[in-house]
Amino acid sequence: MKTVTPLLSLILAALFSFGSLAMAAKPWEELTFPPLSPLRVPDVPEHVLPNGMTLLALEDHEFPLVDVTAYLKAGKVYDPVERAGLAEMAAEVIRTGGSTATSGDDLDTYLESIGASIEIQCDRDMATVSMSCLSQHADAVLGKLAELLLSPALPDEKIELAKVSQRTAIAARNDEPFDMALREYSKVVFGRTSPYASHPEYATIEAISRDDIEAFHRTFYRPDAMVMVVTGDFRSKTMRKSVERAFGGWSAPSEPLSLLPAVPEMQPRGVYYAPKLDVTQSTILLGHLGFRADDPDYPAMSLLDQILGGGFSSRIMNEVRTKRGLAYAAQSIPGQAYPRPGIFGAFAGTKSESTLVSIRVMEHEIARVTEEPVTTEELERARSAILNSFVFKYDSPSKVANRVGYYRFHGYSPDFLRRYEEGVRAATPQTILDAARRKIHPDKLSVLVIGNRDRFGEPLEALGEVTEVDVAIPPPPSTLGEVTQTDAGQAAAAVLLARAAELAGGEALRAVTSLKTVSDANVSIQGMKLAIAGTEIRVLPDRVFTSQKLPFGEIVTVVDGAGGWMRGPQGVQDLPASMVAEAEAERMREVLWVLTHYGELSLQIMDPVTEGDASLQRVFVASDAVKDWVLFFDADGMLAGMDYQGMDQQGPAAMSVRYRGFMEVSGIKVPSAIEIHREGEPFLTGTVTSVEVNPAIDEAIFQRPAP
Amino acid sequence: MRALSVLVCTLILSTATSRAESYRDIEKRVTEHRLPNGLTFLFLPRGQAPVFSYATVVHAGAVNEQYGIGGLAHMMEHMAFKGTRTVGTTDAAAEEAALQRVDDAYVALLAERRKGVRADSALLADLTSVFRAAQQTAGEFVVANEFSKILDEHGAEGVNAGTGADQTVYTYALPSNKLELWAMLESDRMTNTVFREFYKENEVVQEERRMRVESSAGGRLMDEFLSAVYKEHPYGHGLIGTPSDLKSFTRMDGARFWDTYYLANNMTVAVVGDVDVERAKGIVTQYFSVVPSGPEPPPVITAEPPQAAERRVILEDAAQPFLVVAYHVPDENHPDFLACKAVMDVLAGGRSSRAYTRLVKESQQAVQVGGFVGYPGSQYSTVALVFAVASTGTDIHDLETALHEVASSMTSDPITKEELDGHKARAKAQFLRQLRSDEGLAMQLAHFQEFQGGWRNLFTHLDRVDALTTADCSRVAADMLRRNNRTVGIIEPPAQDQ
Repeated sequence: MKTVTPLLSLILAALFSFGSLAMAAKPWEELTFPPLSPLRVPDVPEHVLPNGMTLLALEDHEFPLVDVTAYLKAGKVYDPVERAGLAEMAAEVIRTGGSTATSGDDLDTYLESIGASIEIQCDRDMATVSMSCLSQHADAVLGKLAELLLSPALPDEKIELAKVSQRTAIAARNDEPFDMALREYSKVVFGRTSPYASHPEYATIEAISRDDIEAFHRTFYRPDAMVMVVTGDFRSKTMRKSVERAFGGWSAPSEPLSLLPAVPEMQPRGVYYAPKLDVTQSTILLGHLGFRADDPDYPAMSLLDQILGGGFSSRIMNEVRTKRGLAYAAQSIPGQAYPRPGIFGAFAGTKSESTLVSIRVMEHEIARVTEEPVTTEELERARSAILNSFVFKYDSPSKVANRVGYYRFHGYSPDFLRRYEEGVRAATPQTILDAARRKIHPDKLSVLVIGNRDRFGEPLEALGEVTEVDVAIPPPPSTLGEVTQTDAGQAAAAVLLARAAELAGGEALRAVTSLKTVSDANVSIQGMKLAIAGTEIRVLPDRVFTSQKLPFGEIVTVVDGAGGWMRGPQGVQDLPASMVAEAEAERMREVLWVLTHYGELSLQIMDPVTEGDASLQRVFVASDAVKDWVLFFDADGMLAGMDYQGMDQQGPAAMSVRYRGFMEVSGIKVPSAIEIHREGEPFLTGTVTSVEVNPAIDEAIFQRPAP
Repeated sequence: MRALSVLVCTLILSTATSRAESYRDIEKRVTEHRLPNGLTFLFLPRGQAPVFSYATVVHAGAVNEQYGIGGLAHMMEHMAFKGTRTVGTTDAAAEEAALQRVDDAYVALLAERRKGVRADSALLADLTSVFRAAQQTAGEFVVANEFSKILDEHGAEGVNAGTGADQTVYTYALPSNKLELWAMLESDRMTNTVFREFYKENEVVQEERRMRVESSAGGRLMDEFLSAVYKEHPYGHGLIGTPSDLKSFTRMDGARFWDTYYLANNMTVAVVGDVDVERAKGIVTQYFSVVPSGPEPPPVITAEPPQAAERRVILEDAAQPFLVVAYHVPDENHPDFLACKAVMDVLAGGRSSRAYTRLVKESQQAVQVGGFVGYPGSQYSTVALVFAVASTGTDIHDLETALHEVASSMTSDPITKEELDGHKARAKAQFLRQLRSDEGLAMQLAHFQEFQGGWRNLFTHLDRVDALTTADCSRVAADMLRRNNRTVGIIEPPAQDQ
């Protein structure tokens, strides 16, 4: 036996070393783990108040803090079309306006003084109220929260303040490509007019009154639609009493709860492009309609999402980022939402030049999961990832309670998560493929790109017909009020225009085909004074070349009726749609155009006004291109100025232009000076240094230079 | 696994009966454990769920970058996910040889590129293809994203890292039975990280820079603003790197940086959650003893000189008009630092702050204001920032004047006891909220250990806040909120749009 032992041990040693060689590359696979200590998930006692409000309270005594989250069916999806922005404004004003007992400002001061907070957040499907405070203040702060929800003051000044922030958000909504992308993506997936894609405009914000907000509050902030989750350092029995004391007097309206609007059918595939010229990166979203989280395919689809684009080891991340170094961010979008179907798709941010490559890679990977089963290795990895991290869904009392509350709010069964877990355990490559074929439709996958198409390298049209998304921000409604249109008023206005046209040159004016004007102007911008030397060449009917020499360089702008471009110190770029629209409006507002085309305009005489010591006749021009457009005529009958609503970076602005000191050039009368006020403040004074009628035009000035 | 499936339907009544323990009691449960190589561990058993979080705080950040390596600290963070000599490779030795050939090719390419217009374009093309070929060869040994894959598979949550001006933090959470896996992976990457795909990853970082800095007006302003705020101190370099440096630092530069700062004696690891301290001590001793130690990393010598005159940075852009003002203040260990935080909080911290009241509520010139202290870091003399977003139609320069008036009010109309008490209550609530999660506690413990004189100071922090007086605040406000001590940054509309 003794002789055998060394041999055996040699064999064993060889086997062992062979084994360890094979395993040496993966030492982490040799680890064995002790069984996981069982997770003790605390019960979350539910209590329904007589008024229908649901309370879920869970004690957690580690820190002296109390937190409340309350869910309400008061999201943006309930906005009336013509009052888009109402739900968000209601959420904001209920909070900022305070209650009939405590003004908003006093509430802010009180909460700040004790390190507490109350916020109301408004999302598409719901409003979420949150409160946080030190536990010693819990009763008092709950009382304040109840005051807000039961009897908000909704004071006019906070409504106006909410409108200011809505208007500012509208003016800035095309600043960040990702914000643009999310906004337009919803329209692509849910349809342009869907309540799941709507957003406010100046007009819809202006339309919102205090009554609207009050009615919205009455209809959607109601106890029987609210689930409130409280966690922290309190005793449940005491907390229940506190909540009953604070909210017991809130009664539900008799009307039944509003249902969520229906989600439309899946939209056909489209390729959408929204220009954003000041970026070096494209923001890309692919997608189509998804499904509800209680869909039987959800467990399989969440495994698939993990494999496709759910982390560092996903296919999309591998292909786009790791292998090609293309994108900083790249991931799939899983498709589920709780109260209604979500969006399935993928997202990437990548440098402009690699836009099409990134899209193709993502399209290819998405199509591939509907064509062939995922590998067993990928599935097991995804399954481990989901199941191993399951414990984190319940790793703090607040997570436990909020999860229970969220399911309760959306009407999901309490065993929803258990069934999901079972589904994840049961999935096979085949069931995942089946689910993918039911839920993913590569032929309906729309593409949305926000970026600068000049830099894409390959035209976006290679992917199909491209729909350019108009991201221009519609101007606000008139501030003039209704101008009654009568035939007599139109006729009287036409007489004034005809006389002004004759005074300005008559035949000579009508013979003008082009005009070159050189001027010097002083502009007050943001508290600074700036001198601008300008040259403008106008070729009727619709071409305008403008050169402005500024302290930091020359800016040339050309519009030709169809579009336009701009050349500045930073190079050449197309004018964004909003600027083309404004340039087009500006072309029409020109004296020469008005006095030769007034026959095409809808005119209406208005009451005269006095400015300084001059009495001015007024004519209103109804126009889609120019809002609140009013022409002014001096005592002689000359067209002496106009008011209108202009548009700049800060949104719409009331502009007021006055012409001074007419001079005669080649038989026509032109102003020798100009004064412009913006929103009532002095903005520009200019002096015309020379005017040429029908000058020789170098056609090259209208040609867009090579970038 | 069975335990997991049971957990969802098992309802265990665990009604705690004690009132909230003082957060000071947590201090008693912290165990400090130092390995012979100087690596400090902090363990804190806590909570009921079978999970733990950890944070590794490395005392290295963008402030440690010299000219030519702007962005390298952040690159190290990316590299730490690329694997080691065992994770992420099919053959470490062959791969290392291949990576050296990539380096050689890259260095040759850089040398030719640096000739600028005199560079030989044919040679450049050749060198580029040699470099690409070498990259491809090295790439064949790569097991892509293996590190992240292992973590994903074992259910890691919140796998993350962040590079700041002062520190680089690595953090994630795992089910608590996976402590040994964590110790193996974390000690391995602190010791054996291989900078594979270095020259591909720097393209990813350049992409990140495009997204964060170049593609938004706010990013462009803050990039310019920071370099105006700090004219000498390295806090003035952005975190994400200098474009030229991102295109030219090499794997050898990376290794030098790593070997200088990623030392056992220059980092702290905190583990919080379901952790058996004695077992954990054994495991970390077994795995982390190999992390190399080294000489104390070089100090940052250049200090920001006192500011002598106001500085201004104006960005013309069609984006929403925006205003930001920075005031120089002392570092986080200076006795006045907490008073600076109090002053900034009262000035612009929340809805009852003076700036919010005057500018958002009353004059409606702004839609948002805010303020904080410590930009971009705070281990060295730093700045307090106030910012305001102008409302539509507001002249940004009027808003600036109004904001300066509010700032002056902090001296002309000194901070009141009520204001200071409010700050103390807010600071307490915010501080406790930060500590509520395992991850938050781990990060704070490790941060205090590395930067604020030891982890125990975490538990006296609120006492120091409580000790602040209105006299402290007035003195600090007068010293800080001066015109000559401020830098103003503005986004205003381009002139031609007016």
